[in-house]
Amino acid sequence: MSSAIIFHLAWLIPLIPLLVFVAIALFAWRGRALGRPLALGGIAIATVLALFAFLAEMLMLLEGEQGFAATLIGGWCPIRVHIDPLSALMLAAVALACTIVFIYSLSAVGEDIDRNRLYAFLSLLAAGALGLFIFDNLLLVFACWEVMDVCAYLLTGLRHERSSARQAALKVFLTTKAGDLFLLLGTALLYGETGSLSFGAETLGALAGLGHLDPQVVAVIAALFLAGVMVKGGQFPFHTWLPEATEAPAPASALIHVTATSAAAFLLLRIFPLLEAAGGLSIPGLGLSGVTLVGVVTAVLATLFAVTQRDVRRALSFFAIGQLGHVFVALGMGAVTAGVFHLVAGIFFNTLLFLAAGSVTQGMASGRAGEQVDPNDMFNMGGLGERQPLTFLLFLVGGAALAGSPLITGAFWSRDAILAQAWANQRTLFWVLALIAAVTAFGVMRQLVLIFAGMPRSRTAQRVIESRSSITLPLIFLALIVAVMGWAGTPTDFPIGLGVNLFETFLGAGDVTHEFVWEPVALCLWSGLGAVSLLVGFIVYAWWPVQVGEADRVGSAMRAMWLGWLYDLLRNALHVGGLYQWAFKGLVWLGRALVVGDGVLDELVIAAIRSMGGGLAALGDWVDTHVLTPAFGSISRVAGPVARIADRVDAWLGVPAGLVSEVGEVLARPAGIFDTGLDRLVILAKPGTLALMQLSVVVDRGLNVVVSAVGRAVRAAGLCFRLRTGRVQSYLRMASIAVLVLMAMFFVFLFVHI
Amino acid sequence: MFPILSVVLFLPLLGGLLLLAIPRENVKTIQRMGLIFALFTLGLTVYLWVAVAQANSSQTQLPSENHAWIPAFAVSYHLEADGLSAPLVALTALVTALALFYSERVIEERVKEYFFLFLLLETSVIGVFLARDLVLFYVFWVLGLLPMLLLISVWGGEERERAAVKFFLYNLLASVAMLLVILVVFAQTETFDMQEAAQKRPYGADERFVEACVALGALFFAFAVRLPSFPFHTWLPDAQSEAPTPVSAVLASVFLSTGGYGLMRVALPLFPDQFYYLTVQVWVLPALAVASIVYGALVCLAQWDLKRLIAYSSIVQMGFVTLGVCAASAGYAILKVLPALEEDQPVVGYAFLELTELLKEAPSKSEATFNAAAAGLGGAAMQLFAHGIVIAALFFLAGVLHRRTRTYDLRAFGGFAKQIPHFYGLVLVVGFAALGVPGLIGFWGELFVFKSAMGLLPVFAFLGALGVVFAAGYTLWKIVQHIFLGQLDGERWGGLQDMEGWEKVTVWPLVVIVVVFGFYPTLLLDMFNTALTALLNGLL
Repeated sequence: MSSAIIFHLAWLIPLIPLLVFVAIALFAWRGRALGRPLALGGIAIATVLALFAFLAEMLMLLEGEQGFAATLIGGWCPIRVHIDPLSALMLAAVALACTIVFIYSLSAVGEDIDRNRLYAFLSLLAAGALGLFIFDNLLLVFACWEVMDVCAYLLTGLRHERSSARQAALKVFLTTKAGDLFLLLGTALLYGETGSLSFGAETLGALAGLGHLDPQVVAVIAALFLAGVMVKGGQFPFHTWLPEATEAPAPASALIHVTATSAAAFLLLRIFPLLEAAGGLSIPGLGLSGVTLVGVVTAVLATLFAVTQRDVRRALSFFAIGQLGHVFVALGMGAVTAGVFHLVAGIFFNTLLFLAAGSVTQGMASGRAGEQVDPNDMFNMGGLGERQPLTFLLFLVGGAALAGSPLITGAFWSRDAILAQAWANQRTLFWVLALIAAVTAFGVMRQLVLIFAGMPRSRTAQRVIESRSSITLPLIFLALIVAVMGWAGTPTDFPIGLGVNLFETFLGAGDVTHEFVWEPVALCLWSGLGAVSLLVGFIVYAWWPVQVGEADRVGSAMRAMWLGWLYDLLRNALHVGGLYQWAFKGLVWLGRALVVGDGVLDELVIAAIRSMGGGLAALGDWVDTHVLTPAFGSISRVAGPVARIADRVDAWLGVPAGLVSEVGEVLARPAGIFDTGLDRLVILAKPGTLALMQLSVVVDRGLNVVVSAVGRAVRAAGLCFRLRTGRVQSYLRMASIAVLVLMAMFFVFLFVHI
Repeated sequence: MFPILSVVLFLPLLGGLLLLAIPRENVKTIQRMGLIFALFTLGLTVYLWVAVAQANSSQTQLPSENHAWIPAFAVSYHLEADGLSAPLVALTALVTALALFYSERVIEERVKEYFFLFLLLETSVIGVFLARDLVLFYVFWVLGLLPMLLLISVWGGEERERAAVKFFLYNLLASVAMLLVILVVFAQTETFDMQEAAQKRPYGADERFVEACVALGALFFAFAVRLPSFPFHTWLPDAQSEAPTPVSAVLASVFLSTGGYGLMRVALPLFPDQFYYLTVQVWVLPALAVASIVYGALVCLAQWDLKRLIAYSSIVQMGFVTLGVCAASAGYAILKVLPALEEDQPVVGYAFLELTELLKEAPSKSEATFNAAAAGLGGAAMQLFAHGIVIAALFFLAGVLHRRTRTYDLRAFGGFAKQIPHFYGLVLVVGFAALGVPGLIGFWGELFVFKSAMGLLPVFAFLGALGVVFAAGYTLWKIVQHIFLGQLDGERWGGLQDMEGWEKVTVWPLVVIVVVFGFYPTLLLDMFNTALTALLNGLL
């Protein structure tokens, strides 16, 4: 079957961008033009393959089959490919987003960036993200996960001349590395307990359900995975790294956000059986699963953070995090279709927003011409609607999606799906999310007005011009997708629509899904609230235009109500970033203290050795003065008579000694003859002997050299063996005592054990 | 049978002795001959690797030699190469060859003595990896001290004497402790052969358990100084700081590997019950392992001297080796103790302690526990090998930097990324390998140690994971950021040249190994696993 072929080739999808990375790294590093076509070609091919896979998956579903699984390389770490509707959808969406980002990056980045490096790292990031979706192997998934983090670090630090970028890159890597470790520990535990690297739904569900795993262990594994997913998706309290990652060039930060959020949600879905086996990690009494709790807290906090930001990129980052929080809420409630729908919508409208914002900031940066303004600060912008009309339109579409406007169907129906679910199950949750929808709408309007409406608040803003069409065209394509997407996910009983929820049908088989039942009351309530806040936002920011140097109106209002502290807290994202920084500084301080401690430990060791040597030397001294000298002294008194006796013995021995020497002389003669004979023999064999003599001379010389070198070196080193006792004899004594002690111990052991 | 092992062992020494015959003026000849011998040895070690792999797969006998050496004292000349020894021997040969190649351009005085000592060092380290008789092991262990002492104290930096003496005395003390334990083992088992002694199990009976633990403590001390493990590590940073670059590389990658190897080959098989007691009941050993990881990483965070930082990072990586071995012994505890308890047999060490919950519920998981224990040892061995490659590369790269900048002070650098991009790329790859990023060699050791430790020593696994985060901190912040990112001091460093050909030749083989074994570790893993599974089976 033709569809089957594409699945067998699915492993090419992540491989091609990876090869592009390697190719650029090896051949096109510095300024060569090869990087551009390589990168674009690579991602285009990967996207085409991904789209084929998506279509093939749809065809398969129409024929009633479910998914595709195959083992490419067996062994203890099998490379298994597993494609089901979810992964096909993610592949297609993320690959498409990647392509648009790549096209954007071809022309949209400033001259201060090494293009090839950007393309290389973007390709690697794409490879990691796409690989994550197709492999059914815990280790490979983890590898892709971590490779994405490395890329986030490299991309954030791309403009490393700036200290803000350097610091942001470091924060990004350290935070994501901590998340990776949660995931690694969870993976290690799961692998260790089950011995299997596969984590398809069947395997995990089977393992978890049949009680093969101890429930406590399952809970620990689930918690570890959830923690890892939370870090990757920037959920509270790990929400600092994604806004920091906006230091990367605009296309890079767009891709980082999109891939990180999709990867987080995807993994969460994959490990769902584990979470369910652990009771959903729910907090007793709250009636919420852990995932929903995380999602709603993040949605609330992140959205509040977003409306207080001055930096347009950070605001969008917080909005993206908040929307992922919504996805988590849906997943936690079991509404998988709604969650995935919103995730896919988010992939597209977030990319659109980030890239449109990139167009804005690029305009600001190029219009700067020496004026010292932050091109990302929205309070320096204003009136850009006239100067960048197309960008304005694009930003408007993205913003409308984010705000949940009914006209932009993509995000509208996905948001409604989640809220309808909440309305049906947990009314309080619905109200919370509805209020947050209102705040989001307010924030979107705030951004639109601050950037595009009114009068320019700086000379830079006056000089901004529209971006090139190579930048805006791909964004138009994206905007169309965002606008139209929603028709695929309308509830089945909505009067205007296709009459069938395509998303549900696509994702439906096998997974836990709840049907998207249309709740008209809920819909009107939350979209009404949204519309009202849009109006409120307009009034607050646009009715009386924001002046140059004016502080944020919301902030001023809160300060007037004595809630200024709350505003500052929100603006600084609850100072969690500061907390991390403080912790890092504390660690470095601890390190410094330990360095001092290390030095102390060192001195202790030296002192111990010295005292041991000194102690032995003192002992030797004592033995010398009190034992040996008196002994020798008394010996010497005896020596005289002994010497005389020895003399006499010697004289007496001299007689046979003389005999011995005579015998020796007698023997010497034949020995001499033998010797001369040998000599003659040797001389006869002259050439050989000469050579032998030479060799012996050389060896002799060599030995001489060794001995003298060793001697010299020992003498050179010997200078330091001085342990400040000043006595050579005490060394000898020390050594002999040590040897005696050792021998005594040996004999003691021997005797004890015989 | 061709005595391949003796040839591999003594070829460097032979080369060194022949070198001595060359007049000292012919420096080039000396260098070339030294390098030729090192390369021959490398070729033979690769052949040995293949031979061992074949022996493993076809289940035939491993290459070994066994002759009586000093029959009066029951000392035999017993060499053997198995899956654990062969890769480490190859590592030794590779790093020595690369270091000798590097030394040609770097060492200018007393070249003959230098090359001789280097080759002597190579023989002694290979001897440690191949010896299967305790006295032979000890002889080679101590034999390595003298050339290292001289290499540091004659060719080193300004404070070389102090560092060299500290190194020598500390290691000598550790060796004496080892000697005592070897004698004790002989007294208990009447043999010096490692396998026989392990089978006869010194201190098999229960009554002298405390004595046995003291013996293991002394033996662990001996290996812990060499690993190095906290708190016996203080000799290493000074020795590394003062040693010349190639000597640092060999010291860190080859010399230190003998410590971890000894832990797996000698300490664990001879005293497995005492090992698990000190791991599971009293948890001294895993605490030291984790202390090495966390303490070492924190101290790294505070370092401003590049060489000392790399030296301390050695300590961190060796902490993982110790942790893996501890996890394996914890697995052994579960596998050995519980069946014995169930059958009401007396268990060594049990009379002194309460069983932990962990041990109580394990009997149903004996295969999983065996796999976990094997993973612990396999991970430790992988980490040992990976550390050898990565740390050698790091020291060579540090040397490349030092040749151009004449300083190791991290505060003096900055913005080198665009100036010396080739160097930057290699440091990034090697740095990420040291962090355990997947796709590079450092990942597998870390993964398997964690896989084993999470199930058997979970608290210590968590603490060890902290060390990995700190490691990321010091690698990226101190090394990458301070050297390569930021503003370049144009006046001072404007003329920095990128790596030269011979420097690339020194480092690239290591980088290639990092990437190849990162993606395809099976070659290595199979070797280690076969040998270590046999070792574990021998324990049970």
